[in-house]
Formats: sequence, C-alpha cells, structure tokens
Amino acid sequence: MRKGRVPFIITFLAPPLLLYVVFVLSPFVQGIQISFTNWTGFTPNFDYVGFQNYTALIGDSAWWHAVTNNLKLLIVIPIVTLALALAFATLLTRGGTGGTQHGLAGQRLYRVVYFFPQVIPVVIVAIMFQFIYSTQSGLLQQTLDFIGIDLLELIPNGPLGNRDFILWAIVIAAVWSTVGFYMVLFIAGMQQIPREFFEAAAIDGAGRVRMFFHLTLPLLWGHVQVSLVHIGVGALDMFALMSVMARNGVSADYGGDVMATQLYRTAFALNSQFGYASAMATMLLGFSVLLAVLTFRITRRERLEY
Amino acid sequence: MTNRRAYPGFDRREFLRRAGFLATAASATSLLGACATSGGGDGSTTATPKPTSSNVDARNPFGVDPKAALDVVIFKGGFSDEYAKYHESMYQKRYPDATVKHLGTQEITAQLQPRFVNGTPPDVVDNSGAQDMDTATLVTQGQLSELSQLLSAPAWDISGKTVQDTLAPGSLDPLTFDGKVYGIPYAFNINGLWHDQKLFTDNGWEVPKTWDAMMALGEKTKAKGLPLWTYQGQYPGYMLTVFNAMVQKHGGKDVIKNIDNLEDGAWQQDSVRAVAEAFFELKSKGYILPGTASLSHTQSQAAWLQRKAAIIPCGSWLKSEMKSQVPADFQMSITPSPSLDANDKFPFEAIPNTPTESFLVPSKAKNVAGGLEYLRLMLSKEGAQKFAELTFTLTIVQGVHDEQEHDPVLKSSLATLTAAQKVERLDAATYGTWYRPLVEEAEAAIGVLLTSSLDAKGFVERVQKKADAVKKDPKIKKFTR
Repeated sequence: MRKGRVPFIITFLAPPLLLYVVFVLSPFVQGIQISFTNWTGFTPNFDYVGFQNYTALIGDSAWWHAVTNNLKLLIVIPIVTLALALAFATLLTRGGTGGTQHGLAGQRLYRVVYFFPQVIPVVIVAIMFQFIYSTQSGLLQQTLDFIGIDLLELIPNGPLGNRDFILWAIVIAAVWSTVGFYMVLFIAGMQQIPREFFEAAAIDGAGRVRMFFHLTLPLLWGHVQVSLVHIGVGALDMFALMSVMARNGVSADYGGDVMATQLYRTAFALNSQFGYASAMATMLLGFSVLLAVLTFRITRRERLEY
Repeated sequence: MTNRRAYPGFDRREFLRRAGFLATAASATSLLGACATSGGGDGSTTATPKPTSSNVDARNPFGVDPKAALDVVIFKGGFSDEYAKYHESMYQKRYPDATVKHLGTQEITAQLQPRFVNGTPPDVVDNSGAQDMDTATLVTQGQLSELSQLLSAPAWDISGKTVQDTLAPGSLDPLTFDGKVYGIPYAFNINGLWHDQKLFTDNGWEVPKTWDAMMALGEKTKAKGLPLWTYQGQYPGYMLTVFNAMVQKHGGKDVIKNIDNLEDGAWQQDSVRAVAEAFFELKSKGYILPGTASLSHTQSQAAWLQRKAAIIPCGSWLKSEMKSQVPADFQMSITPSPSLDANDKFPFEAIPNTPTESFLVPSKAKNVAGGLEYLRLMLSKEGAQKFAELTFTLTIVQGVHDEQEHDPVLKSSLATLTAAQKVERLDAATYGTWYRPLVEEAEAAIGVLLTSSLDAKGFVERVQKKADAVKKDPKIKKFTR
C-alpha cells in the first residue's frame, strides 16, 4: 500500500494541476507582464514602458468612475442578495425552526420558483430585463401605467437610459437571477442544524424571530461567509450583465460602467490599448484577492461542531 | 533584424506560449526589444505581394494560384451574408479547383484577433459591425496589404477601365492612411434622415431642407401628437453622424479637418457650437420621442416604422435590417441632413462619402493574390448588382446600379446620390476611425446633449477636454490629413 502511494497521488494531482497552471496561472502571469508594455494585441511586437500604464490609470477619472460603481455594487448586491436569500430560506423551510414550527404553505412550489432564474443563462436574463425596462411598452411601463404612474416621469429616459438609475436597474436583474441559488444553499445549511437545538429554544419560549437570530444565523455562519466571498467577487465582475444591458458600460453616459467593461473596451475598442487594459485587469485581480482575504478576516468566527 | 534571423523557429504562436517565461530571461527581453523597433514604425513596411505564378494576364492580373484555397470572413449583420456567398460562387466559377472557406459572424474581433496574433489571418476580411477590429492599429502594425496593385488592375467585367476608374470618387478615403489605401469600403452607404413619404404626403408636410424648416415641422407634427424625431438611443453615434455632416456643411471642410487633426480648440469652432445649439433645441422644444435614450437601435427603428416619430437618422442598411417590420404602405425614403442656415458653405444636397463594410486583405494571409482577386470580383458589375439587389444598398461601383429595377429605398438613395454628385462632396470625418476614445466620449456627450442635462456649451467643453486628453496620450498613435 505505502509503496504505491506517491505515484498514485501524483497521477491524480498532476493533470488538474497542469491544467490549472496552463489555463489559469500562466494567463495571470502573462497579463501582469503585458501590463508593463505598450502591446496593441495584434502583433508580437511591444516595448516595456515600466509603470507608465499604472500611473496613467491612477490619473484616469473614467477608471475611478468605474471603480466607484464597483464599490457601490460591492456594498449593495451582497447585502440585498443575502438578506433576501436568508429570508426566503427561513420562510420556506422547517429547518429554520428545526421542525418545531412549519414553513409556508406551498413551500415546495416556491423553492422551484425562486431557484428557477438560476438555470437561465445570464445573457438571456439581461435581454429579458431589457424588454421589461423598455420605454416602448415594456412590462414595467405597462404595470406602472395600470396604477396611473408614468414611467418616463418617474425615471426620465427610462431605467436603462438614465445615468443615475441604470446601475440599480441592472442590480435588480443581478439579484433576481442569483438569489435562488443562495436560498437553496441556506436551506441545505439549515437542514443540517440539529432539531434538538430548536426544541430546546422552543421550550425556553423563543419565537421564530428569536430562533433565527440566535440559533439559525450563528450556526449558518460558514455558509454566509462563503456566499459573501462569492457574491463579492461577482459584484467586482458583473461583465455579462453590463455588457448586454449597458452596452459594455457606455449606455446612459457611462452610468453602468464597471472595471470589467472598461478594461474590455480599452483592450478591444479604444485604439487597442492592450497594455493599459492589462494594467486595469491586474488591478481588478488585486481587488478580488484583497476582497477574499478581507472577507475571511472580518467574518471569522469559531466554528461549532455538531 | 539580425537577431530575428538568429531565431528562425521563433514564430508568433511560440511567442505567445512562452511570453511569460521569456520575460525573465534577459537575452529574450533584448530580442523582444529588437522586434518592437522593427515592427513598430509607421506601417509602411508592408511589401506588395509578388505574383505567385507565372500566368499573369488581364484575366488574372495578380497571378492567382487556381488551386489555392480562399478563406473569407464576413460580418453577418444588417446586410446578412447572402451577398458574400454569391461572390464566393463567382470566385469558384472562375477557379473551380479552389476551395472557398466561408465564415459569417458578428464577432469579428473575437474570431480574428487570435488569428492575426498567430500570423494565420484569413485572405479576405469584412471588418465591420460593433465588434470590428481597429483598422488604424492593423495598419500601423503592418498587418494589411496595401491595395495599389488591385486599384491599377483591369476591372472584372467593365472593359477598358481599371478597378480604380469604376469607383465613386473619394470612396476610398475612409481606409486611406497617409496616402495609401488599405481596404475597400464596399457599400455606398448614405447617412441621412429617413421619413415615410406616405405620412408626409397625407399630412401635406415637406421634407425640411433647413434647420428652421425642421423646427417648424416639429411644431406641426407635435400638433398631430407625433414627436418629430427619434434616434438609436443606446447608440448616440447615429446622431454624431448627422452632427458631423451639418457642421461641415455650415463651416466648410476645414472645420471637420481641424477636428480630425486634433487641432487645439477644434470643438470650440463656431460651426460646432452652432450645430450643438440646434441639437439642444430638439430637446428643449420636446421634439424627441420620450424614452428614446434607452431604446436599442432596432427598438427605435421599429418605433419609427410604427409611425411613433416622423424622422430617424440612419444609414442605407435600414431597410435590410428592418425588412420584416416594414408596414406594407410605408414609403421609406432618405434625404440628406438639413442645412443649418442660409450661411452654409455647402448646399443642402451635399453628402459625405461614408461607405461601410470594410474589406481587407491581411498582409500575412496565405493567399493574398486570391484575396485581391476576390475584391476585384466584388467590384464587378455582376457582384455589385447582386449586392444591391440583396441589401437595398448601392455599392461604391459607379453607374452599375442605374439599370437595375429599384425598390423605393434604392430609388431615393440613387436620387440623393445623383443630386449630391452635382455639387461638391463633403469629406468623411475620420476621427471616428483614428481616435476611438474620442468618438466614444463624443457619442456619450451627444446623447446627454439630446436627452439629458448637457447644454451646447457643456457639450462642446466636454468633448474638447477629451480631444485634448487624446492628443496628449502617448499610447494613441496620431494621424493627420
């Protein structure tokens, strides 16, 4: 047994490690290398320009605008998504109270309904919401009409044509499409919590709300932590939705421009500044790593074994 | 250059694969340095292709190898790619032994950029659409064939003329860099204002030729409960096209030339301000269809076809793009953009040449001769007429469309073109191709001018600021004309 162990482990570890190095690590390294050049992306030729791209980036107000938008997303999306997902999970599961109290009637149906957006491709979600937000008889406009409100008076130029609204209009699409996934994750987590805890709490006279905050949530913390990192990194990216719904960030006077869309345009549309775009990408990479480290630091708690 | 010869196996593919490791090796860094200086330059390093076989004659002026495969990539957008399939069948007919590979796609950059980097680009590229490659960069990097050989070759089926002779004057300007032609802009696109002649006749409205008449019409349409104007809200570039034309008509060629050449204060010239003021009026008088800013190009065009607005700016591809949604009684017609006032330096009829569908032959293509031959056959009478028939759009080949049976769109396009050719031609603005960061900002700003918080002064200042920034930016190569 012992003898064959090392080759055995290598056979299993080597292929994925190799794939990871070739397709994940090496592009990162190359990207960082390119960020120090003036490469245009069309030829093998380039010059090294030192930190020129980075100093230009720091002085680029368009980049700071994109960073600010990402920060807004980073604050709002995780809070809204997780709050909704926790609320739905609690309402829809008996696990929330360990079976001492029942979930909502029709909970199986709701589970499917809330999870459903998760199986729709992001691009389809984006196109669908474009129709919903359309100022030529979109669903939103007609619904508001029905209750006597003029969409264009409420939001001049419509949700996707208004600089101050476009970001939040897209946030709604983002939350709608992911909340079901985290709900299912939390339901699974809640079902692992031993029933006795809830029974004990019930005997002590704790109600639903109290059980949630003092039992369910602390015991679910590991799940919440993982979700936070996941949603946070997603909020730093947001490329797919912004690409379709905000025309790569240009729509509504750059109202929905984020780091990912801006770097995409810089590389592929704006006179092909690949070196500069790679500097943006490297910064984005830095932010993502920083975010993951910070989240785990801040949310670290002792884990309970049961 | 000597360094290069010392590493014969060091091709582009290898380069990409090893780039990461090479960075650490000092010797490799100096090699890359050598490459950069040899290839950077001004793009004039491209050699004209040598004939590949000895059978060069009038029928085969580029010495096409009849057996060599031809690789064609077409932008499959508003014009679809049926016309290209016809052109390919023409090539196949002439060279039955050649296989023709066809790809119709909207993702030009995603499909082709890796191929350029690898040094294996196709033989013919229709570099068009929202995801087209940056032509200026391709030129400066020496990736495109210079086309003088094609232009001086005899025309395919118009006897006694060279290819150059058959083309509408000035049509090659947009793809001319420092005096050399690097591509054929094939479709004779006319950017203008579209209206439904039936709607206008029924109401007794005239197509406005001046901005004052336009504003007067706006009052009349408003009285009928119809907004005067809509545009492709998410793509304010359509309005920038109207803007460029009106500015040049009013102030003359130098005004737009100053803008193209990034002259200091170019956007603060009087004509630019005056047209910005005029555009501001569209907003302040409430002549724009509410909600226009958030519409996509097809949504706004559909609204116009449903007669929810009287006028929309667009290029010649409009009918081809909206074919299925045109009501039966709709008489789609195009006119030039209006004159600003009586002081205009150009008459109303003047239009710029703004051809679309940029056909390129990459310099590193396997079958450059075949690529040139394909371009030559596209510019034939047969090829051009088929294009017009399938897309309702004229080509830059002159005179061949007069004898075709025209639909209303082709008819009004031809009338506009014929009138325009009697007066002096506007220059096509080139800053859009040369300086993409500038045009992106100008588009965003014109959107805000038309539907949101900017006034004419704010618009002019904002775009001028960006023009100054682009001028100072060492990362962006500068051109002049």
